[in-house]
Formats: sequence, C-alpha cells, structure tokens
Amino acid sequence: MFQALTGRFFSGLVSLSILLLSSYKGNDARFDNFRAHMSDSGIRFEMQLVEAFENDFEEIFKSGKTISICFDLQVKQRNKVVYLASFKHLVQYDPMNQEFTVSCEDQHMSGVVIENYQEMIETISQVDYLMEGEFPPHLDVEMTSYLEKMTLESLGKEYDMMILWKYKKPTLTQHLDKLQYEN
Amino acid sequence: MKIRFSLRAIVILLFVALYITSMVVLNSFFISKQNETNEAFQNIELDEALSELSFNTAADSLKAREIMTRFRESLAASQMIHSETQIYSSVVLFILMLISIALFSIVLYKVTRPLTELQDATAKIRQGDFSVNLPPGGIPEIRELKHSFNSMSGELNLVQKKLVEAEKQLIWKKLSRILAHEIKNPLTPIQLSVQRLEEKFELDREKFDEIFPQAIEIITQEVSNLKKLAASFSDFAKNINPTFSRFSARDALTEILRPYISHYPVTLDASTTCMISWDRTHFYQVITNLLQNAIDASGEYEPIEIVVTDHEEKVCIQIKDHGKGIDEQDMEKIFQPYFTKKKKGTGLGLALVQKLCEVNRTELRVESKIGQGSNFILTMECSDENSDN
Repeated sequence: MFQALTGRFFSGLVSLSILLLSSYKGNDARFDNFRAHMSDSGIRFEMQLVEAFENDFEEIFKSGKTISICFDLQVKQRNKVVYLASFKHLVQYDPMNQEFTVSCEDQHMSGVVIENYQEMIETISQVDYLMEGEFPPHLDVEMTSYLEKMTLESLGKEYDMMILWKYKKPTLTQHLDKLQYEN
Repeated sequence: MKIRFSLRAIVILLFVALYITSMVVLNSFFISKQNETNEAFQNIELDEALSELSFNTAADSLKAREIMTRFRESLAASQMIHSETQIYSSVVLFILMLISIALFSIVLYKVTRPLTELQDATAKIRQGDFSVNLPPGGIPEIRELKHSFNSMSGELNLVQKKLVEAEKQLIWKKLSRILAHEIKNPLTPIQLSVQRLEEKFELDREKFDEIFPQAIEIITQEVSNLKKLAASFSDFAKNINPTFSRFSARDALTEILRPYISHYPVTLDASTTCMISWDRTHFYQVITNLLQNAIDASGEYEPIEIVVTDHEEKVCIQIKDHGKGIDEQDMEKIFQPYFTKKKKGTGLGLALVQKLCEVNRTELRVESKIGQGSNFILTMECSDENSDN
C-alpha cells in the first residue's frame, strides 16, 4: 500500500516536473482496443499496448539484451481475487543479422524472428490471453504492464527501464458482464 | 475586478519567473549538447559496416559480434543516460525551485513583517493610542528602527498622560470657578432676602408681614434655579448610552412643537416622511434645547422655522431663527462647556446637544450672521427597515 502510494507520488512528481520544466517526450503507455469473448475453454482477453515504444526505445531494443515487457492480470469478483496470471513478451536483437527474436508467452509464441522494427513493436504490443476455466457472470478485470530492469554487463550497470514510461505503469480496469463477453 | 499585488507577491513572482527561465535555459543547453553527442554516436553505424564484412574464421566472427554487442550496449546506455538526465534534471530542478521559493518566502516574510508591524503601529498612533510597543527582534537595521519607534511612542505616551492630567486639573479649576459663581448668583438674593426679613422682623413687624411673601417667592425662585443648575451639571456629566429606535422625524417634531406653537411664532415645514434612528429622549432634549435657544435669541414676533428635508439617503433638520445671530469669534466656542452669553445660562446646553448628536451618529453644524439670525443644521442617515441599529 505504502509502496503504491510512494510510486504514485513519484510518478506524479516526475510528470509535473517534465510538464513544467522539460521538453522530454518519453512514452505515455496505455492499453486500448480491449475485447473479451468466450471460447470453448474459457474467456479470451485481447488488448493493445499503445504509445508505449514510440520514443527512445529503438537503441534499447537494438542493444542485444533481452528486453522483457511484463503483464499482470488480476480478475476479481466482488472485490475477491478469483484469478491471477503473469506473462511476458521478450525481445532480443541480433546485431550481426539485424533481426529481432520475439516471444509472447500469452500467445504461446516462442522464438519468432522479425526483421522489421515496426512489425516487432506491433507484435509485442498485442496482448491475447486465454483465461481457462469456468467463471462467474460478473467480473472485474485489471491488466497492468511494466518493464523489467536492464543490465548491461559490459558496462557493469543496471538501468530502470520504467524511466522510459515516466515511471507510470499502464493499467486497464474493465468490468465485464457475462452477456458482454459472450457476444 | 482589479487585482492588486503586494510588494512581497511581486518580488516572489519576479524571483520565480527569473529562476525558472534561467534554469530551463541552462537545462535545455545541456540537453541539446547531450543530444548532439548521441547523434554523433548513432552516426557511426558500426553494426551495418561490420555485418557487410566477411570473416574467415569463427574467432574473427565472434570478435566482431563482441565488438558490435559492446557498441550496441554503449548506444543503449547512452540513450538511457540521456532519458535519465532529462527526467532527473527536471525533477531536481522542480524540487530545488520549491525549496528556494519556500526559503525565499521565509526570508522575505522576515524582512517585510517588521515593516507591516511598523505600519500597524503607526496607524494606532495616528488613532491616538500611544501605548503601542513593537516586539524586539529582526535584522539589526530593523531592530534599531523598532527601538527608535518604541522610544518615540513611549515619549508620546508620557506627554499625552501629562497633557490629560493638566487638562483634568484645568477642567476642575474651571468647573470649580463656574460652580462657585453659579451657586453664588442665587445665594446673594437669598441672603439679601433673609437679612431683610430678619431686619424687618426685629424693627418693623408690619413691614415684615408685607415683604414676607415677596421674600419667600424670591428664595423659592432662587432655590429652583439652583436645582436646575444641579440638574444641568448632572445631565452633562452622565455617560450617555443611546437606546436607538426608529421613528418618523416629522411626527416626532410635530409632537415636540405642539406646546410651543400656541405661544411662539414657530412653523414646521417637513416635506419628507423618512424614518430616522435615534434615542427618542435624546431627540427631544436636542430639539427643545435648540428651539429654546432660538426663542431666546429672537424678538417677540420674529419667526422660527423648523425645516425637514431628505437628500441621498440623509435627513436634514434645520432650526432657523431671525434673531440677533452669533458673533464670528464666538462661533468656535458655542459648543464648549460653560460658554454662554445668556444672563441665566449654564453654558452646558449646546455642549450637551453636541454630545447627544455624536452618540446618535448625527452631524451638527451652525450657520449664523449677526443681525440676521442663526441656523442649526442636524444631518443624519435615513433608517430603512432593514437597517441595523
């Protein structure tokens, strides 16, 4: 609780400082195009991370290090957590062949090679998660994303990637009725 | 609405504007220089160049990959440092700005507060309160200024006390003299009457019976005068606390003038129905006092006019006579206690009138010309229904 409040205060301070005193653009990451529908084995959530990788990311993705974009899914029914899941999207660049290797755990996609930078961004921005099982009719879905820290061994330094998102975790909260996600 | 900024607010605003501008300009300069360094790095395009080379051995290829990885990591690190610098510099700048504004405001407050205190103290002195004393403290120049101010107010206070004491003594002396004189006046005829009665009682009984009623009448009259004198002094010395009530000036004047109209040439011209807020008893005392003065100053057939008008929420009552008028040199003294030109006056009538007008929030002034008469003018606020008494 305290950590969350401190985090919010700090991200607020950063946003205000940038707004008043800096020309820094950064990225205002958020979720968009949310869809939920029933499948044979459960509920499928689809959404897209937008405005997340537009500025300052190219050199980071091309560093050759594995970049992890993490997602936390929490499903509640009447304030009681009924489902929790975490998954990652991973990107690694091969400078010799100038291509990206992408893995998306939610889509069971592993080691897919993509040459085009924009195509890679579109792939890692897309979330498609199947929540397997039987679920009650009214649900509250909360999806949060964050970036893991990056360590550059050759320089012996660790960088907090969240700085590129101005320390703000994009979060999507959605209330679902059964009829809504059945359609 | 016109907004007025205090000197303190203007200085703080100027400081903040200058501070932010200079810091932002400085920050932008360093960021632009860092951007140039980053661009220079990116223009090397080492990975593209290396990927076009063909390597004969696996060791060469591995070495090239290592070089490329290091170069790419350096570029990523440079990008991260660039982002960190931009964000942290703006956060630090913002925090520094808040701290410096807070410190600057405290210092400015410390400097300007004594000036505000001085201003308030000066206002108190202007209102006649010389007991004001500024608290010690502040920067040396301000301490010195406060010390001088306190010395000045102390001296003024002392002088004021001496003046009040002297004035009291003067008033007592004057009062004693007037009282002695006023009491002596009726005592003389009383003493003479008693002596005459005593003399006739012993020498001429017949004459005694003849003068007895006359002497008793004189004594009774003079005792009555003494009583009146005592009542006047008592009225003047009393603390006057008005009990305000709302009434029509015209109706009240009609009521007061009724006994006078049959004996004297008094007329009432009241064009207004405005209500006024006064103590009813005080109103009666003021009007009868001024009217009696007008009667005393006028000849038998000289008219006395009471005129009531209203203008811009104010009611004006004029009591005009066409009598002998007041000397220009006496105009300043007529409201002073014990000043009178009447043979049997106490000199307290107009002083009391002025005092009653003051407590009833009424302006009293007089216009007079020798040989043409006097006009006493009372000006007071109209009292609407919702006015707070």
